[in-house]
Amino acid sequence: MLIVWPALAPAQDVAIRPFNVVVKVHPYLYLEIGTPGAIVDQISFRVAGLPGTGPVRGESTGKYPVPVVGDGMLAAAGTVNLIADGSQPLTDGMGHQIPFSQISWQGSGDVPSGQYSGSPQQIILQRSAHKGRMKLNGAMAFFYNNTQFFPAGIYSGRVIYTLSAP
Amino acid sequence: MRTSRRRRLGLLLLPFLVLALGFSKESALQLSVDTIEVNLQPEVASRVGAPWMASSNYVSVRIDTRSLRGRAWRLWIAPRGLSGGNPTVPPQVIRWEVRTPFVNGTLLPQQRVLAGQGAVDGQVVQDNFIFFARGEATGAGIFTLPLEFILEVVQ
Repeated sequence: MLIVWPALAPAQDVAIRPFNVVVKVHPYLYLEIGTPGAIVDQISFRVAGLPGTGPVRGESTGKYPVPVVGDGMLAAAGTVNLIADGSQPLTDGMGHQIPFSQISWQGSGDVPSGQYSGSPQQIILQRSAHKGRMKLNGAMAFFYNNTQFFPAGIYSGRVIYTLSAP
Repeated sequence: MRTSRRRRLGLLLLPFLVLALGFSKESALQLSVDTIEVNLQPEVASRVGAPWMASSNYVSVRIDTRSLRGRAWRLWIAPRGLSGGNPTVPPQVIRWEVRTPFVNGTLLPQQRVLAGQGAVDGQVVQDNFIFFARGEATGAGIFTLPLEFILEVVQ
């Protein structure tokens, strides 16, 4: 019996050219509260009851409870802070003011519950983080405490959040 | 007598000298890679959960099949030295896009991956390899993956 093996075509490396792929991963921090992008969500409270009749739950122009999403690539281990500046009170345009300390929130996920202090550097959330990837996920449902009398009107104000890391 | 022996020795060496020069010329023309480093940077500000790598500059590859001796050619990309690369950025997160006769692919650790093939038909084939990376970075920093193009000829 004759066995014929198919001839394998020999292959030969004839040229080799080295090159490098360089991956540059820079440290970064990303914070998203409410609707992604440049939209500023508005939380409104319809206060119908007298002070002392209980807190009033807010409504949002975006998702509610308001999503809080943080993402980062940290260059070093350290403390991550979510800071709120609620130092400018709500105003009605007629000279009347309501301090932000009249507003509280119920937190979920990584965000603890709390109440605005009216400080420009109020720490809302603090946690220690390792070097490398860091993620925050939570939500906030807001309430008007309704514990004091204020003149009737439409009051508006803005809170600015800052995420900081080493 | 001595001059005659030198002349005969010279005549004997001449074909080998021409052959050596010929090989040297072929080697320089077969595979040309114009870039030795391609940089990938993440699109960090795009949005949460987005892939962390963006596209990059490219590597231009040119193969002149006129100087190849064989039936077909194949081009491979492999981690240089088959070392497996940096563990923070594994090779398999890197992929490339290119046009025929080159083929798209994804790097694999410790093995070569086909990047193109064709007939040795006297044509010059050329294209730009555009590299991408997709995956979760585990840390900030600059990571270098040493790679190499390998041109193979099938007899």
